[in-house]
Amino acid sequence: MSEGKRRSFIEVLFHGDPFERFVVAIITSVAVLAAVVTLLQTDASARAGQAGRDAQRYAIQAMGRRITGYVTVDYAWYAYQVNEELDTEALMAERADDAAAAARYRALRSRLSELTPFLAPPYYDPNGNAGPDLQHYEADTYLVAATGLAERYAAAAALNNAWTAKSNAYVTHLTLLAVSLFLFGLATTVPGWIRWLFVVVGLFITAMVVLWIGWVTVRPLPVLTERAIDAYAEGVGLAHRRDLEGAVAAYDRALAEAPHYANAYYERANTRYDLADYEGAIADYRAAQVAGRDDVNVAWNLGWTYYLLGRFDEAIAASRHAVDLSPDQVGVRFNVALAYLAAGQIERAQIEYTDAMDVATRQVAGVAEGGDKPPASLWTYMDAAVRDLEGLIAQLRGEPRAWTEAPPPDKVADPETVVAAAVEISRQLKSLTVALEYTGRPPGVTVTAKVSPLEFAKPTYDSDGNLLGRTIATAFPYGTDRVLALFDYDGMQDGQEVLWKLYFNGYEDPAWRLVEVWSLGKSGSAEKPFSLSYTNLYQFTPGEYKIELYVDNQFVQEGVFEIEADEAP
Amino acid sequence: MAVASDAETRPDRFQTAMAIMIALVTLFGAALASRTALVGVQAGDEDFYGLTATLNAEEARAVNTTTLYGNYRAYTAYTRYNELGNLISADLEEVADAQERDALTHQMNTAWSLAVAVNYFFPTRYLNRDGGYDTERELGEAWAEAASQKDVYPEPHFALADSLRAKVSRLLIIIIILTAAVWFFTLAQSLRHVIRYVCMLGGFGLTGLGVAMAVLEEVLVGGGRFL
Repeated sequence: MSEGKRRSFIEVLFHGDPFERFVVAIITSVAVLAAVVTLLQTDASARAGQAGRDAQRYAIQAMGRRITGYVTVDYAWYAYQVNEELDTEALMAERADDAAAAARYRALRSRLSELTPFLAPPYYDPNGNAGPDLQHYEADTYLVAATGLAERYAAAAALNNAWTAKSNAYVTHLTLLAVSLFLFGLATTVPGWIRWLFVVVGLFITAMVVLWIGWVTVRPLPVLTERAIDAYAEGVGLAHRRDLEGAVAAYDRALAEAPHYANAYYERANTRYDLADYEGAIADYRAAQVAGRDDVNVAWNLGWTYYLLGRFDEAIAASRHAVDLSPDQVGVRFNVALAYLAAGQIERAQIEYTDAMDVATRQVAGVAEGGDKPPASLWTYMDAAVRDLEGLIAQLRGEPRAWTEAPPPDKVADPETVVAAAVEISRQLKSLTVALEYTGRPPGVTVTAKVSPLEFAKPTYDSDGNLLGRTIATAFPYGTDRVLALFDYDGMQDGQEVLWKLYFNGYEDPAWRLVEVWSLGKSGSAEKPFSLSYTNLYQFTPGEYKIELYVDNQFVQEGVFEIEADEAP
Repeated sequence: MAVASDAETRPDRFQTAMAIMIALVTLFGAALASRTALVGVQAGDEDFYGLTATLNAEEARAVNTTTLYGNYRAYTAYTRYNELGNLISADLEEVADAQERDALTHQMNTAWSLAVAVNYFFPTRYLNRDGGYDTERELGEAWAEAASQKDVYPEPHFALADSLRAKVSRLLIIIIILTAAVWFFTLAQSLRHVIRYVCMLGGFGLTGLGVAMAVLEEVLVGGGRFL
């Protein structure tokens, strides 16, 4: 070393080779940084583990709470069944003029109602005509608590995912820091300018990692507060017991606590839908999607709500999205077809209906090959598709029922054409549903038999039970316990399978379903009784009754009658 | 070419002392890291025990509730028949017609017989003096029985697991402090400037702080078993 040469700053500062000492200083600094990242990674990993553990705990507890709740409610419903049996026995004793026995059964009923809170206010009025409020009891017994636990599970699981992502990111940081440490170490083994290149690259990597660490560390986590979850669970309970306004208020509180609470948006949307606030429901379904809940249920309900508002293009888009998310869902495929139909795109609607019916047929054939039964939900969706078509028809004919859900008539282009197409598609769907249910295959050769539209009559009898006559009508008074379906037929063949289905207020009552073998010859007139007269206590409940007739699993004819409401105070 | 003097190439005592300190602190840090890993394993174990206890507790609740309401159904049937027999018995005193008395007596005997028949389908020890059924007592006894067979209290395990995780974090902070101490010792060893004494003091200070915190953590705070 020349005596006269001035030393550089690094040479003044460090012993030995200044470059090596400088690199050692960098390496130790990066080691300290790595230790800090290790702390962050361990902390994130621990929090992920804690959240994962909490998620498992809440899942177990939610399941347990539901099981114990179901058992409790099951007993309560059994107690109500006993209560009804005793009430019926009391009524029968009264009809037999046995007042003492009636009094005994009533006293017994009163005694047994003390065994469960379900048979007392606020769930049940023993002196009223209404049944107990099962939904209220379910909400109080377990639903709110189980929902709260399920939401805590979901929140903890989301937190677990977020902390795991952070932990994994920190592991990546540690790997990159190891790379930079490797470069620094390598720099001490090579001469010339290239060693500075290694140092610069190492420092660049370290700087990038420091920035990345900062971003990962400050990135917010999906945290749901206890108050938000409690308000949400309360809302679910209130909605379950049909206190819809109260439920919306509870969801409002949950969303005020947690503005990105997707489930709260979704449930508030459902409640607003039940309140017929369709615009509000759409806003909430969309908010739920934005908040991260972009699943088939949200898209399905969003599409249906658009349909009810007559916004058919948006209905088709949303329902299509639902189909993309869950291609096997037949129900939402029918919604796509229905929206096309209401939009006046008849040919496109027929294509979509055919497509959906093919999917249903394949599903039934698929499970039949394996010796299994198709899921019961399939029949629910197919029945709903028919009900939706009939709702559209009733709406466009200006005859909406209380249960009709359909878009405003003025939103439907060319109503007459739409009604004609809806009637035909409805017939196809009914036949397909029955054929798939009973044979596992689509309907066979078209039935040629002609059956006149069903008429209904109330029979009258003398005191010995002999038929005196029939009163044909479309509406019968309260207290009617027997109605005859009258029809003429031609082209029938003995041995054909005949199916009768009865619908009450738009929904089938499967208890009335009857399968028979035809034995009345090729042509003639016939009557089919629908009766509760085998009891001397029950009559038809007031409402609309629709009877459908199927021959060899194909829809042939239908008719509607009404039982009038009780005018007695 | 100039040759470096012995004074420049041979480590002085200061450098040797710093190297020894670096080695000692590194060894101590490694021991702490090992301890940290063991405490982390303990935390995971406690989580497992807690989840097992949660499962046991929910299973016990579900089974106990199902059993209870099975018994309560039988008790409901018992009450129905027994009370019906009692009501008929009370009415019998006011019936004069012999045929009706015979019919009611038959109904009464049938009702009481049915009450006796279903009596075997629920534990009668939970009957109160007023004839009511003590569901709380049955659930309480069933829970006590379950608790004597299995661990059904998860909270202590979860609390301990959380405490152990906090301990892991504190131990890691101590390790960082010791790493910083090594950084100071390394600088002190490399420097020739007087600033090396400042670095040395920084290293000793952080080492002392780290050791003190480790002792406090293990002696005073505790929270984890030495394995």
